[in-house]
Amino acid sequence: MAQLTMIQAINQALAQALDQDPAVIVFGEDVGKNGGVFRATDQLQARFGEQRVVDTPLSESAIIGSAIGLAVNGMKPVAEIQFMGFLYPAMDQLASQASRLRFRSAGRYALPLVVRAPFGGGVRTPELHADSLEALFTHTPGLKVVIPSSAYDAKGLLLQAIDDPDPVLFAEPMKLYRAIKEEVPEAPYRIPLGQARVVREGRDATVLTWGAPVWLVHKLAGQLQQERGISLEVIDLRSLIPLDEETIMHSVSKTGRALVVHEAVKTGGFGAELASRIMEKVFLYLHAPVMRVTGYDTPYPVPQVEDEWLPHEERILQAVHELLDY
Amino acid sequence: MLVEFKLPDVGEGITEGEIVRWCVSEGEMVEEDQVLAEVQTDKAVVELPSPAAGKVKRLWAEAGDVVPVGAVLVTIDSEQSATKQLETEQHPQMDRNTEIHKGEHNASSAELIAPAPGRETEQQTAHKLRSGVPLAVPSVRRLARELKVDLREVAGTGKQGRITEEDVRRYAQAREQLAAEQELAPSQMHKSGQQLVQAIQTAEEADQERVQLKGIRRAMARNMKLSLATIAHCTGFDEADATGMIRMRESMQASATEEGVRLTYLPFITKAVVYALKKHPLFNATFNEERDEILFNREINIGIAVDTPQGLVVPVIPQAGQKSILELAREIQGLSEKAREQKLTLREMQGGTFTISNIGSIGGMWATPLIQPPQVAILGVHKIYKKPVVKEDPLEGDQVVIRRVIGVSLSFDHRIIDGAQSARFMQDVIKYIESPHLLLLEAR
Repeated sequence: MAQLTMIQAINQALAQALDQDPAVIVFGEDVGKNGGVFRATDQLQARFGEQRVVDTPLSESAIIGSAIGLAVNGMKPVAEIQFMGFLYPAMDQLASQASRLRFRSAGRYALPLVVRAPFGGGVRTPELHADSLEALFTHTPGLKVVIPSSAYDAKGLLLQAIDDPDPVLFAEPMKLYRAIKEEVPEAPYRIPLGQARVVREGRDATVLTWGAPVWLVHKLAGQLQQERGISLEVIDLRSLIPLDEETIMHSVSKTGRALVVHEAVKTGGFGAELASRIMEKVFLYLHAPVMRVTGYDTPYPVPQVEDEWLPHEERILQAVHELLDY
Repeated sequence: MLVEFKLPDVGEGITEGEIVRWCVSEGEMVEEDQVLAEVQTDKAVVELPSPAAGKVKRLWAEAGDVVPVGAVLVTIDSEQSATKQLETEQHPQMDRNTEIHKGEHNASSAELIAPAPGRETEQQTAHKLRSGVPLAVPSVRRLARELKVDLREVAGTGKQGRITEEDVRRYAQAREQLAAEQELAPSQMHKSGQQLVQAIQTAEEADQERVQLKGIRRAMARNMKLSLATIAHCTGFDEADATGMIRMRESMQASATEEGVRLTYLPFITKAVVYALKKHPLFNATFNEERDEILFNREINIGIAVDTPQGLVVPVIPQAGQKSILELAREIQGLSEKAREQKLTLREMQGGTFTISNIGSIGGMWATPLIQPPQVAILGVHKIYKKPVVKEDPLEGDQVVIRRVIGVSLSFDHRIIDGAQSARFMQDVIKYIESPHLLLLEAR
């Protein structure tokens, strides 16, 4: 089995999707000749031609608008938005059109489109390039939101997302694009949406996370177990919508404590949604309030301070201790 | 600056207090040390002085609420004092913000000054919780439901008086123990009988009035249950001829009145008990069952059970072994008055080593008083009444005469005191009541 980075796994998934299904079409800014800003679409145009891997003008709204038109007419478009922060100009297309079509047509039309967008911090990008906006989309009924944290998951989840009949925002943590290498099977495979992954089993507290922090939390959990005998259960949600409530509630009712770690700002973040659902479902099992370690309530900061701004080791450790000592 | 005044731990073992009444209202200016509220703990009513001068911004509880130790009672804006005008001039911006947010119920000006992310501290959140609700995390509440424990009855030993899992388990265990002990008592009904009573009670409930036990009444309920559940009670009854004591009191009453003291029988009985305790220090001890230890107290501190409209309270006369009858009388008088006015401080109710319960003025011949743990004995003193008794006379023959006698009931902890010891102690108490002049013989 080949050792692949996440970006290579995504590239492979796109190639296999294009190969298997003539309805699949990949497009976006610089995805063709250039192979994408992160090389996710490298060599795809050379292999599948300009009709299926298309360079678009610099207009996010037009990209998503075209994707909607294509999808509603039987294609399976996979659109790349260079950074999640650039989805703001396309928000109208996503929230007012794409997400509503199934509801509006009383189920007559599906809209099988995938929007790929790198996101997340820790890579010293300029403004608007690192924003974690997943909560905007989880708050938009009709959209699915999928976030892989490993090369293996990226391939399996992306192939599943392309098959999915509804619009899916496929958010790729750019910090992980080349930070990890994993064995990824060559043959196409699919991972169902809405199934969280228990990264590590534990009994003292449950940490719910997704994207880049999964690795940080996993590492810390190992340290805490070894140095202090604290046993954390780490869950990578993988998809926020649909959400794997069963795995979450099972874990939290077992440990009695939950910590949410995400890069997005705190107020109105998906962590708040998780905390609230935990209260609704397993309140009587809690030994402590659900806690959150998140980005601060400011726009994403300049590179000099982003390490402080992001959930980092010290903040997570402190929260774990607060949770356990509550 | 906003000063948050929290309910202090006003005495050992206190986890909550009931606001009897507020002495200030929201918006009122207060001085430092001015009394903010009267709070009734399990043991006494205490006055809480203000920690700062300023304007009362918010009262966090209402009269009648039971508030846990550590909860915020009052928020005082200490800037709203003499320096207010100056401050406002220096920070016009801040003032404007305050104006904008005036309508917000919960926004304190501290929050408005620093609307940074994560601005609400854990403490502030905790203090916003409704007062009077027992503090416990959800998992403890689940346990309480499973064990059918009413959290309002459980004293919390956790952070900020929080009820822990262990508190709930301990409570449930004590309850079981109590139930088991009651089952052993011959007077207890059979299960079917109990069920019948329950059925009748349920049927009658519609006609019943519910009264929530609070403060002293609730404390008494808990203490008495603890007493019965943990102490091996045994009670001896006897009578003393009160004639000697009555005569002595009559002869001394005028002098005492001159001193401004109302002389009752209780100081004489107290003195008699003190002398008996000096001879029998085991009755002035405390018992630690966990360590199988008897601790002999060096001081004799006599608790006097006082009947008040709020319930039974037990102020303590410290170092009673070193006090004269007049001094004892003066202290008993002072403590009783304070008890009835609910003015007793906690200090005045702590440290008792032996208790006297005097219900003579009300009536009744005998009783089985319950011992206050960790004490090991309590003496009940009953009314003086006329009774025909046989007066033995070897020369002229026995005669029936009318004497004035007083009933005494001594409950003792049978774990460490046996019946013979109890009888000897009682005989000494009776001896000093019957022949109070003997007190002089041994007086120091």
